[in-house]
Amino acid sequence: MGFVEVYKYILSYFGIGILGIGILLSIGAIVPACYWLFTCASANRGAAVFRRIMLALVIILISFSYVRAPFFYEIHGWWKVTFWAAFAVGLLVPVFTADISRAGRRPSRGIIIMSCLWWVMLILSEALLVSGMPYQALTLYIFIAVAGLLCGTMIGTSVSQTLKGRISESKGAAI
Amino acid sequence: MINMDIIAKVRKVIIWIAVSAVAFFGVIAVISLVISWGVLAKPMRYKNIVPEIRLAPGERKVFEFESFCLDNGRGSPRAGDDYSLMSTPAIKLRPYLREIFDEYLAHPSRWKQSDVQQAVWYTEGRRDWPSLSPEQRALIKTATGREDPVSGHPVIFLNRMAQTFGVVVKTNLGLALLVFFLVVLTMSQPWTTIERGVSWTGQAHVLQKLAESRLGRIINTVAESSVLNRVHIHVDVLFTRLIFKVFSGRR
Repeated sequence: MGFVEVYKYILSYFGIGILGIGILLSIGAIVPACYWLFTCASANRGAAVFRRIMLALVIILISFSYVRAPFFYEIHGWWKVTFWAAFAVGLLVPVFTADISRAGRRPSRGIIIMSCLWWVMLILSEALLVSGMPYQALTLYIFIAVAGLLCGTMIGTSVSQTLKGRISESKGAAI
Repeated sequence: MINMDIIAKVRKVIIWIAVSAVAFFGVIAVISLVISWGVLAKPMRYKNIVPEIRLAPGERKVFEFESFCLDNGRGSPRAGDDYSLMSTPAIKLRPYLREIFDEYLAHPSRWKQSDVQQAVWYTEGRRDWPSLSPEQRALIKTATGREDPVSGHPVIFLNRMAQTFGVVVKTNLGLALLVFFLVVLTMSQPWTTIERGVSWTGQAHVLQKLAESRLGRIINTVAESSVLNRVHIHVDVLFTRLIFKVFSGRR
């Protein structure tokens, strides 16, 4: 073997070690990440609008970067359309049901369920990928649709809560 | 006010990282040089056979190419996808790939394209030696001078593992990091949330130390900063105004 081959040969052993540490870290990090994600998604106090916008951006960033991986090249046809269509649905449903939703119902319940589903789909897709199934169009389309719904619902819930506040203020002023 | 101590510390860290990196890669280079001393690089024969493509300004030529898939794990190209001629780092990075192409280009009538394709995927670590046909094995043996050269090769192992796990590691670590920052920037008591998230490890004393450390203090300072609070309020107000504007205009 020539110099370059031997150099790569030795360096690749360090590479395997670093990748191994990365795999262990990523397995360890996904558990707290899951808890932090659900906590952020369910919190209604404080800067709720800011938090939901930032969380939507995080979900978009992670979902898009995952689906854009070279392994999933074959699904690239309609995934963006799927995402934005689901986003529109997620945004419009809480807005148009703002005046008919029950008063005692927790507004972030839908967000929590969808963030759970998003996380489960991500882990399922990763497990399929690691087990040697790169062609998983159905799983990825469900994943991207859930991501779109989640992001849309977060923004839609914020819009709906703002509108409800406005309606309550108007009623108060009328009385 | 700028704290000069921090600048000096950062400078020190950068110098140490640079020196350590040079020493690390230098030591490996010396070891590689010692091991490979006296070994001559195998000359590529295809250059004597394949003509070089040269185009004068405005000149147009038509060539017919045979192409090979370098990554078996990737999806097939779609109809209408554009192709372009370009160099690929795989030729330099992937062991034995250059030798296989050299053998094929030097003796194109001896080997079938489908056998070369299987040999290319073999160098990726996606095909086992026993699963190859006798012709494919003969091609690899003639090109590399060895039987089953990929077996146990760390570069190919790393390449294969990085392809599979790279996406997962990048996604999971990216998600953990981004959500961590999200907790710090948006939660009223970030440290409590962070602590609960990692409490499953059962290392309460480590968490306690971490909370009292500089990192813990920085997190609390960021979370309680008035600038961040102002950003929260401004975003809230802007969002509320936008909603009122949109819904007032539709009446």
